Amino acid sequence: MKKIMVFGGRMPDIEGQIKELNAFCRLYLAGEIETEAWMISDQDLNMAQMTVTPEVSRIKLVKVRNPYVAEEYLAVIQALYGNTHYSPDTGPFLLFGSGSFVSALAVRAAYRLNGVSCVGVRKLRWQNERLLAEKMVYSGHLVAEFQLKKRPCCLAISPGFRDGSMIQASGVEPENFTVADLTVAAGDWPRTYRCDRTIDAAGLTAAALVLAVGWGIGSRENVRQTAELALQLGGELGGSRPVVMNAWLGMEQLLGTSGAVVAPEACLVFGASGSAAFKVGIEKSKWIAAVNCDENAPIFQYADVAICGDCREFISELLQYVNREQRSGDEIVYDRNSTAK
Amino acid sequence: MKVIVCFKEAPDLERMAPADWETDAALKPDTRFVPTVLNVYDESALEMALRLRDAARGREKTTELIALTVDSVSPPRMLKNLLALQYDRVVKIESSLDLRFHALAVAKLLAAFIKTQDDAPVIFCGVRSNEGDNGKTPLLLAEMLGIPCITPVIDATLAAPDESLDVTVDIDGWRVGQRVRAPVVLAVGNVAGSSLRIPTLKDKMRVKGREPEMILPAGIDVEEIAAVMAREEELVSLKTERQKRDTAFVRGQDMAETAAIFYNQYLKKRAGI
Repeated sequence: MKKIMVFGGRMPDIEGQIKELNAFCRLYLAGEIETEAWMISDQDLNMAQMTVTPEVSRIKLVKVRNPYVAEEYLAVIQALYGNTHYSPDTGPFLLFGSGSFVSALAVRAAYRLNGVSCVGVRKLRWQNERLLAEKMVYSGHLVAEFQLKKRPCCLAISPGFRDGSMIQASGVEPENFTVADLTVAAGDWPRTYRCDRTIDAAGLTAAALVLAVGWGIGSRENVRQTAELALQLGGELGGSRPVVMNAWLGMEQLLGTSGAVVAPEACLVFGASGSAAFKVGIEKSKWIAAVNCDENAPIFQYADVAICGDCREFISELLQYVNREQRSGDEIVYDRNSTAK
Repeated sequence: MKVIVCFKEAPDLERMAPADWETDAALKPDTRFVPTVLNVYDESALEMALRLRDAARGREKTTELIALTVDSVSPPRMLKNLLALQYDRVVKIESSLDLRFHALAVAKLLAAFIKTQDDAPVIFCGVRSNEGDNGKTPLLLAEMLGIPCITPVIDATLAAPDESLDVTVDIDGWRVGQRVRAPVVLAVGNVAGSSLRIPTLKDKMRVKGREPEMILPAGIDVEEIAAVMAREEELVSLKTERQKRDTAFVRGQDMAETAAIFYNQYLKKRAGI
């Protein structure tokens, strides 16, 4: 069965897509013989300068006019796919990364190619010749497994697949392709277009230490204090959906099903009850400590260390302690009777 | 300008206890006893459309607003609230199908209604719903209607001087601004400060006697939709996932001591701190 990795957008996002799809394919699609990568971008991609390359035997490069106009990318996918007719048993996999742009391409490409799509796939397996894809549903409360019956099978994977290895210079010489009618594909829209880099969310997803705040943090001022603690500890700050929707943190700091999925060495959670949607964002952390005033809060079910109490008071005390230690350079033995904090 | 907002009201899943997630023979958890809430992305879409309407009024332009839902559990109160907020029409397409995981069927039902409209509309949808988490409906709707789809939208404002819209999108670390005009599908993502406004008593009194429209899907063969659903994909299992960790509670005499114990015993040695 043919496996085609489809990469779209701009650098460095494309490198991120390569890493996550390499990791996914090693786990679930390692045996496919015929493998290709389609790399679609408005930029001139130079494979030799990339830190990773897709683990495939053939690479096709196609340039579009605009960075993120889906219609142009879809026209390219349709053109590269061609008019090949595959049987339901042997039709190819088109694999897309977890980002919002490429996930949307997976769904629309499946519709145009008369195939089937699934977004947020975290596992793939065969059972009695049935292809089964697993994903989270019900806002992260339940795991569903779907049998996908049509081909091509356009799969957008879930966030969180990480590949530490750097596979450079695979020896595959990229082939350049052109698609003639991109103007027709995009029509006369957009009428004006502007694309700017925003704050890099990669800081959060790549951090070794993440501090996460939930609604129980109580105020913007308390979020600021937690940011100060994050700075002192060398960590990155993220938040649950209520915190971000209240604009106490930026949207790029959102953790959970609709935001970033992090996997740091340590994650400190303050004032989050532990909703399923939020849990998805932090559950891959190697070690989790949570502070919450409710001893029965769901967050404690998946924390390694729990502190039951007012998270604001705890943050304040921890910040003072860290500041004192960093000033002294030595471990402080806590003296409960000391008035100097 | 005609604006259609596709929305869904669904059970508040955060009110479910762990034991409530058992599924029945049809692979459905019983969510009837929890209150319903607007899907968060749809709520932002509904409010975004109202803000567009407000801006259009300021320029003495007319906007027709239609709120459209399929097979939603929306109670009449919710639908009437949308009328009170001056949605010109609130339409519910009735369906007996289990549409939780079948965005294609939902999109077909929505498209059938939208195709009956004379004017080319701006269509708002939330990027995904909380039950199915499909993330497909606005995309498939655009494909069926043969119109562009922009996702995930974080802002849409009226552009001067014609009926174009300035649409802002956050895509994986890039902010894209573009000027577009109808017809277009705008899939609304995470938008801060976009809770749906609450109608006043005066608003509600103004629409007293008006009712939402309950319609059957016109020109749609529901049996055929069910057959298409079965040919595409099939839900084979739905289960909870328990990943409980061995939790150690840290307790000091007071919070200062708790913080000290936590720092020295746990935090200091991790992540190179």
